[in-house]
Amino acid sequence: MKRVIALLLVLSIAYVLLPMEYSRRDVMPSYEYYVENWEEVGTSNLVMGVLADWRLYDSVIEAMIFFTGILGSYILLEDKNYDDE
Amino acid sequence: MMMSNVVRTTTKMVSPFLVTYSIYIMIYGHLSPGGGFQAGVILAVSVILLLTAHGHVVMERKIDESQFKMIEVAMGVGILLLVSGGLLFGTMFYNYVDRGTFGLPFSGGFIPIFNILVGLKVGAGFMVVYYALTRWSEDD
Repeated sequence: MKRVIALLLVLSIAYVLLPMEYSRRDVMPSYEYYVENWEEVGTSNLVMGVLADWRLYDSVIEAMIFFTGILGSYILLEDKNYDDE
Repeated sequence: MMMSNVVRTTTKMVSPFLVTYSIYIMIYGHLSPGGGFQAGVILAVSVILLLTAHGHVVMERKIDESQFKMIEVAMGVGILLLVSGGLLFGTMFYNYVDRGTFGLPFSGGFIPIFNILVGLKVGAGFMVVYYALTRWSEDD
């Protein structure tokens, strides 16, 4: 039963996602928006403007993922005989 | 494990310049190619070079690893506080600091502050990981 539900879910997601197409020319692509509104951010490095202003949530969550990775590796490799703390 | 005299001397000479370069990339990340993550990696490499060349036994007398962990956690909390400060001005992730003049170091709102925080966080994080990974390879 679970497999049938999973299969139906996958098929329904595929039904929604597969017909998506980005070939329309009348809608402005995102890079054109970034270049046209460059002055809005006020940084001369456009990559940093995209990363740290328009897509700041992505950068912050990436930093948190990095933090989680460091935490996990440190917990795994912890020195058990390290009696300093 | 301690490497040869040549390696140790060269590393001692190169490492301060790496720290200077990393700070330059951190502060000017929004004006020239670079950014917080790259600056952090260079900062971590300056310490990893010393660790590799001199070995853990010598370096443990010079550096305190718990400080790296403290910097890492403090910068993580700082990033979250900086970002959620936008809630007072409308939405989360909103750049609420004055934008300044285009092309000068004081421009782009909080992007320089964000770069410095991310750089310190990534640098301290890589140092902690390298320290934890190589701690077991020590014989002496």
